[in-house]
Amino acid sequence: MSSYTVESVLFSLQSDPGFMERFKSDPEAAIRDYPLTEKERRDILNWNVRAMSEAGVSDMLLMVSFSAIHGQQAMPDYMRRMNMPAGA
Amino acid sequence: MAQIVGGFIMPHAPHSVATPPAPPPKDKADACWSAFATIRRRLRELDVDTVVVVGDDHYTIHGPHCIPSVLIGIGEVSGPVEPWLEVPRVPIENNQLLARHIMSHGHHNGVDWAYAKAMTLDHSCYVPWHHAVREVEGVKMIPVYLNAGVDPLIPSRRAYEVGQAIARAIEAYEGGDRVAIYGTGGMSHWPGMSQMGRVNEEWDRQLVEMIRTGDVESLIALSDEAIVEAGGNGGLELKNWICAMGAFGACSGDIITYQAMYEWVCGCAFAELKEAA
Repeated sequence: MSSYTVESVLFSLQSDPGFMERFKSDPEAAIRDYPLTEKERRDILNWNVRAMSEAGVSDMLLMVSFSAIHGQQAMPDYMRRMNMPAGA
Repeated sequence: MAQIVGGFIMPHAPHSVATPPAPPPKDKADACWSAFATIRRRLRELDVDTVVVVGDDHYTIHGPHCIPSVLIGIGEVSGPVEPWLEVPRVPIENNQLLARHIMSHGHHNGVDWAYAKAMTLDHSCYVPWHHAVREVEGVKMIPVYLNAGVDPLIPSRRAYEVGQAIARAIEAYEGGDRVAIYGTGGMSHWPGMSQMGRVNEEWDRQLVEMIRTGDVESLIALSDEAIVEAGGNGGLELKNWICAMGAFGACSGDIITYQAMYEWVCGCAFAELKEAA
């Protein structure tokens, strides 16, 4: 299941400081070698957390990885995204 | 012979250590601090020397490459892993001999424990240690992780059986260790989900009643889907309590307090397990 690969990317974001830095400086290049569908790639790059959640990605991992990249202070933004319709 | 002399249910709310976005009402927070103090006092009264803390990883320690269903820390332990808990990482004294015995006994009796020779705890095992073990002199801790957080999950019945296996292992241990078991986490909360911040007090109180009456079969009978619907993904942590109740044996629960802690984004129940009359 491809959602497993999405989880693999997100877990690396919150556990591998080197990968996190590569993602912050060039997100597209950082995830290029992962076997993701185009939609999954887009959802990660745009932080479409609601869409990823609906695809079966762990909500806890979404929150922790979003927070690792954007900081704890960005939780209101995370909640706004999580409560938007997935296609919005 | 080693024995289990105590059992407790308690939250592992990270915002009881880290600064929450808004402080909880003082009376509610004080009720929680008092409950942790009660547990520490009971550890001393029961002359406990080892606490087995049952927690669950929050996709923080274990990644998609390996997610253990049941894991025991048999070696070096430290915590917490999360810098956002705002406390320094410290070594935590493990009862390594007993931990290794529980693992080995399980391997010969139907529990394929994963084990960690060195591990850094996430908040699920760190927070109970921080509030309810750390200050009690001479008490060691054995961390046990059930997969109650990352789908596919450990079945609740299996969590109970693992608890029973922990009890049998302790009973078979030749040391004189006096052990307490902590079932941690819950109650209703929705970490990372769209409803995060909600607390379902009515559902929480139904669970509190099941603990009070020692009705572990009703806890086991709750389907994972029903738990998530009523209590969020965090509600699944009741599997940790089920494990503790399985280890303690037939019991009732003395409820120390229940508080709906919106600022900690969860309901918080504290109870001491007592042998069933």
